[in-house]
Amino acid sequence: MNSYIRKKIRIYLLTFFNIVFFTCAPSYASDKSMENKLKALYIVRIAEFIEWPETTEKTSFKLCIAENSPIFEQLQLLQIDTINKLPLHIIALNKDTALLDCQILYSEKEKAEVSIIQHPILTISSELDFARQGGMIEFYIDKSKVRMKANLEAFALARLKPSSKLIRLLTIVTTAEQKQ
Amino acid sequence: MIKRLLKNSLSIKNKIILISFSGLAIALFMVSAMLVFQNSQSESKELSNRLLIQSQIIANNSLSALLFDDPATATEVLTALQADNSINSANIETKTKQLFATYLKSTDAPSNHLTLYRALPWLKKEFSIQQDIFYHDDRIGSVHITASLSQLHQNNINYILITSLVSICSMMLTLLLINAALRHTISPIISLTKTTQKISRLNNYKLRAEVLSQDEIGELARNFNDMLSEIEHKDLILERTVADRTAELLQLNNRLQHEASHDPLTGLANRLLFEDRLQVVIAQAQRNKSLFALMYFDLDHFKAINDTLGHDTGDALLIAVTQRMQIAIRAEDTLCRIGGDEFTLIINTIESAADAETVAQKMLTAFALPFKCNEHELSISSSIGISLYPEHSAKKIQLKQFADIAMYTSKQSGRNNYHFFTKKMQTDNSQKMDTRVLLKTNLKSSIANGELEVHYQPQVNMDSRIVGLEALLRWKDSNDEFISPNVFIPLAEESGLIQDIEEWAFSVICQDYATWQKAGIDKLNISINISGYRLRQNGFTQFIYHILEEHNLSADFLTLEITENDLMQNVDEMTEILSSLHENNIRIAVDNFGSGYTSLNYLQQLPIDEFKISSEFIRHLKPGYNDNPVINAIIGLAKTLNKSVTAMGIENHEQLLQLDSFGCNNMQGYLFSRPLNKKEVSDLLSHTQFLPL
Repeated sequence: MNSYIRKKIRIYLLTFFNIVFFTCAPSYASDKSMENKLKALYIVRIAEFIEWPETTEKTSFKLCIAENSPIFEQLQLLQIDTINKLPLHIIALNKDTALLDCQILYSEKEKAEVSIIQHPILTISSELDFARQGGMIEFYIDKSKVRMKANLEAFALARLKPSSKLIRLLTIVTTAEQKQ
Repeated sequence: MIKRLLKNSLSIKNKIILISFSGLAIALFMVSAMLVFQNSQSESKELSNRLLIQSQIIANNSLSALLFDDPATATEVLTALQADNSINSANIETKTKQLFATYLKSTDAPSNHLTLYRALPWLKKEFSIQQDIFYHDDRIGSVHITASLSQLHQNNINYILITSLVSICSMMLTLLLINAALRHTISPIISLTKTTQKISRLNNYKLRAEVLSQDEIGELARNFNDMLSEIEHKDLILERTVADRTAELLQLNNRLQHEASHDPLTGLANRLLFEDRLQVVIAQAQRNKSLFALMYFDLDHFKAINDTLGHDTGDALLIAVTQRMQIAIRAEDTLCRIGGDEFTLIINTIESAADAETVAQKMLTAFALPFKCNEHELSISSSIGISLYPEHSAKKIQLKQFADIAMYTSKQSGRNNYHFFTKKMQTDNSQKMDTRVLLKTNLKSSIANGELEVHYQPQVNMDSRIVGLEALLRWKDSNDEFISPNVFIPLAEESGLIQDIEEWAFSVICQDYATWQKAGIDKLNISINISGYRLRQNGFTQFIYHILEEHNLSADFLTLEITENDLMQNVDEMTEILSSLHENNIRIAVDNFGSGYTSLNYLQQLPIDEFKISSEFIRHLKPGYNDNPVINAIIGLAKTLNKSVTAMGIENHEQLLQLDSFGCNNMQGYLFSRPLNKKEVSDLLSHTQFLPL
C-alpha cells in the first residue's frame, strides 16, 4: 500500500516538474522545437513535390536521418505514414546504413555525401551552404520563418525533378559559386 | 391605338406600311432582346468559367506556398491575375480564415465604364467566386476572386446599341423596300380611287377605270368598269324614264291647268279663267285708255230642254251653241262658260257701244237657225246683257253685276234680245236679287226654325173613299206667309239644301203615318215626290229603309212619284233601283204622265204601279165633251198594262164625271180637299173615310 502511494506521489511529482520545466523553459527552446517540427513537416512535403526517375522502383519511401537529430524526433511525432501514397519509413542512420537505399537523406553535415551525388536521393540539410556544397535543399531561417535554398544542378545530377510549385518557393543557389 | 389608326382615314398604303413596320419592329425587338439576353448569359457564363478556372489555377499554384507558409509566393501567384482587367481583387485565406495573401487591382488600371453604365446604379457591380485549396483531401485554405461586371454590362449595352442600330437600319431599309413595292402595288388602287372620285365629282358614268394590273385589283377595276357600264345603261334608261315622266307630268300639268281654267264640256274658259282674263283686260284698258264690253248670255228655256230631252241632249246643245258663238266672235275676244247655260264674252278694245251692239246682234243671229243635237232639231235663243268699261264701271265686280242685271232685263222683256246696262235696271233688279238671296239664306234655317211643314192632299176613288194622301212640302216663313214650292224647291236644289229637306220630309211623313197607325186609322197610301237624281244617289234607298225601320213601319204604304223625264234618264240604272224598291213593296207612280217622252217599251219593263195624269190635261177637259183622246189613251194604256190611274187637279164635278166615264181609278184635287196639315188630316180621318162632294 505504502509502495503504491509512494509510486503515485513519484508520478505526480515528475509530472509537476515536467510542467514547470516546459512552461518555464526559455523561448529559444520553444522556437527551436517549432523550427524542427516545421522542418520535419517540410521534409515530408518537399518529397511530394519531387519527381523521382521512373527507373527507380519504389515500393516505399525511406527517409534516412541521424537518430540524434532533433528532427528525427519530430518526424516520429508527426506520425506521417505515407508520401505520395507510398509507405514512409524513417530510418535512423548509422554506419551500416546503405545510403543508396534511401530516397531522402537528411544530413547534419555541411556537405552532401559524394557517393550519392549522382543517385536519385533527395538530400536535405539545415547546415549553412549545404546547397552550395552540392546538397539539394538547405533550410535556413529568414525573418523567423523556415526557408529553403535549392541547388537545381544537384537535382539534375541526381535526375530528380522538383515541381515548379516547389521551385517557386525556393531560393536557387548553384554549386558553381562554391567552386570559386 | 394601332386599331384606331387603322380605322381612321389612313390610306391603304400607310396602313400596310404601319402594319409591316409594326410587325417588323416587334420581331426585331424580340430578336434583339433574345440576342442581348443570350449574349449576356453567355458572357456571364464565360466570366464565371474564367474566374473558376483562374481560381483553380491560383488554388493549385498557391498550394505549395500555403504548405510551406510562404505568403510572398502566394502573393506573387495572385499578382498573375492583374492580366485580367476585370478582376478587382483576390485573396487567399488559410483554413482558419486568416488572410494569407491578397491582390488588389491597381487604381491606375484603365476603366471601361461608360457614362451610360454609370447611369445604371441598380446593376450588379461585382461577381465573386471562391475556390477551396485542398492538400490530401484536407482543406488547407481558399481562394476568393472578385471580378467587376462592368465589362459585361458594357458589352451588353454595346450589344443593345449595335442591335438597335442594326434594327433601325433594317427597318429603314424595309420601309424603303415596302414603299417601293407598295408604290407599284398600290398605284392601281390609287388610280381606281381617283377614277371613282372623278366620277362622283363629274357624275359622268362614261368614265372608266384603267386596268393597270392582272391581279385582284385589276379584276376589281374590270368589275368596277362593268358596274359603271350597268349604271350608265340604267342611268340612261332612268334619264329617259325621267324625261318621259317629266313630259307626262308637264302634259298632265298643262291638262290640269287647262281643266282648272276651262270648261270640260265646251272647252271654253271657265269662271276662274274668266275672272282672271277680266282682270287683265281691265288693267290693259286702264293702261291704254281703251274701252271694252262685257256680255252675259243665258240660253232661254234651256232647263226645259234638259228636263225633257235629258242631259245628254242638253250637253250636246251646249256644245253646238258654243261652236256657233265662237264663229260669231273675234279671236282676241274671250268667250267663257260660267255656269250651266250661262256664258260671258269679253270684247276687247271697242271704239264705242255700237261695236258691242254689233257683236250682240251677230250672236242673236247665230241662234236663229235650229241646232241639231242627238237627232233632235232644237231651236233656242239667248238673252244678252252688256256692260261697258269704263262707261258703266271701271270695277270688275260691278261690270259683272251690271251685265247680269242687263241680261236679267232681257229675260224679263221677252227673251231673245240684248240690253245695255242702265242705272234704272240697277234700281229695279236690286230688289229682286235681294229677295232671292234672302230666300236662300232663310231656307237654310227653315228646318231648324220649324218653318217647313208637310201637308197632305187626299186622293179618293170613284166612291169618294179616301184611298191615299199625297205629301206636299209647304214653307211658311217668319212672316207667316206661304212661299210656293215652285219658288223655294229650285232654290233648294240650287243651294244643295234639297237633300236635307227631303230627308227631313221623309222622317216627318213616316212619323205622321206611324201616329195615324197607332190611332187606328185604316191603311192609307202616302205618295211622295222624289227626283231621279236623289234616287240615284248612293245610300238613298238605304236611307228609306232605315227610316221605315226606325218607325217600325212596313214599306207597303209608300208610293214614290217620279216624273217621266227622270224615269227615262239612264233607264237601266233606274230599272234596277225601282225594281229593288218594288221588291220591298214600295209602289212606283209616274208623275204628270203624258207630258214627257216615255218609251212604251220601257213602260212594260219598269216596275210601275200607277200613272198620275197631269192637271194640265184635266184643265183642258171641255165641258159637255165626253171624249178626250189623250186622257182616254192614257187610261186605256194603264188598263192594258194593268196599272192604276190617278187624275190630278180635279176642280169641278164636270171633270169628275168625265173621268168617271173614262174609267179613271182615283182622283185628287180641290174638288175633294185642299192640302191639309197633319192635325187636319188626323181630324178628318178620325171622323170619316169619305169625302163628300
